[in-house]
Amino acid sequence: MIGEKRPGASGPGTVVGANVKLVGTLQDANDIVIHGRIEGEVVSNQTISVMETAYIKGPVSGDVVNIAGKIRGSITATGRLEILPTGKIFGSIASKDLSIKSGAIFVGKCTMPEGEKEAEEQEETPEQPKKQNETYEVE
Amino acid sequence: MEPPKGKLIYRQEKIKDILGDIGIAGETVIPSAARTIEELTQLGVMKGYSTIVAVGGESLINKIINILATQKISKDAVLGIIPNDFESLIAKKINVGDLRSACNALKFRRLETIDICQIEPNKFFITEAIVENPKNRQIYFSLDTMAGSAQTNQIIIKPGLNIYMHDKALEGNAFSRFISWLLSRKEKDIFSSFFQTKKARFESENANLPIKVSGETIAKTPATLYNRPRMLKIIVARDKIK
Repeated sequence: MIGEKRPGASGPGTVVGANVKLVGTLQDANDIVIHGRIEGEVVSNQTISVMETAYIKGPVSGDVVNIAGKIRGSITATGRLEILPTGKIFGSIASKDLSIKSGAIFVGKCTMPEGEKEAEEQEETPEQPKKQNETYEVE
Repeated sequence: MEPPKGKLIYRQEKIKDILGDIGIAGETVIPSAARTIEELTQLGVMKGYSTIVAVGGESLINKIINILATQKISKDAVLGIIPNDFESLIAKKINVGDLRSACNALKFRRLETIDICQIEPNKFFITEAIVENPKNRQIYFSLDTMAGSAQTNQIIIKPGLNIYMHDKALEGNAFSRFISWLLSRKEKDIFSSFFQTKKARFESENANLPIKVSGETIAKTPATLYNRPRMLKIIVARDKIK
């Protein structure tokens, strides 16, 4: 496993330069910044930044995921997922907090677990319709 | 102690005087054709000395570390260091700025257990190793769970197996760098890589690149490196009061 650092430590844990090609699982307890090309899984407990020059073929999973590059694969963000104007995603995404900027390309299925939960709750307990013709007796 | 030559003769006498003044006694040995530094270190450990003090450059220090790290009997031996160059990485690592502070550090004996890097089969270092090539070269590497390749001209490896890779050619030519400087424009560095791992292997295409520690070649690619956590006890200076 790459980068077993102190939990909660800040700063870039792994930086993949623009002229680097990787095959395999890139896993880090810290932030991951990708400028290069990866074929395989990318996993972090913190922020994953996929920069403009980056290309990832495989699943990406992190707390906060920022995408300005190209990804072919599923993306799971336990926190926030942001697709920037230069971002291109071909695959499914799952996040509770999603932002897609104008110009971004997203081809795939989007799942929002929190939103689904909320929708289910609303279906189970529909709001009581207000009584239309209530009359009050005044002495 | 490193074999005395030039300025070192006077310096070594001075070190002996300072150590005597602060009450540190011990056997002083100097490597020669008959006895190498490795043999002398081994002898010292076998005699039961609890502390081996290396007086010299990083090359000598690394030779001593090679013995302390590989010999089972030396597990409890502590390494003290009086470096030749107080601007060196090793001097900064033990936090000493001059001869007196290095000698005083030995007196106060503040121990720190440090990570060391091993290059297979039996080379060790505690500061940094550099794989450098004047031109960019395709380097193939594997790090724990992944393999990859990179165009790079410099790889810096530090204990904890922190690996920095830099791609010089992609920084742009002299003209574009001049324009950036003229416009005070700082280009974002997207060509450097940083990894932290437990095991790394480097191979280069059509060449065996030297792996240098303090300017001395200690191995060549292809090479496999490991992080050896908390493997060596060294004496460091007390923290400076700010």
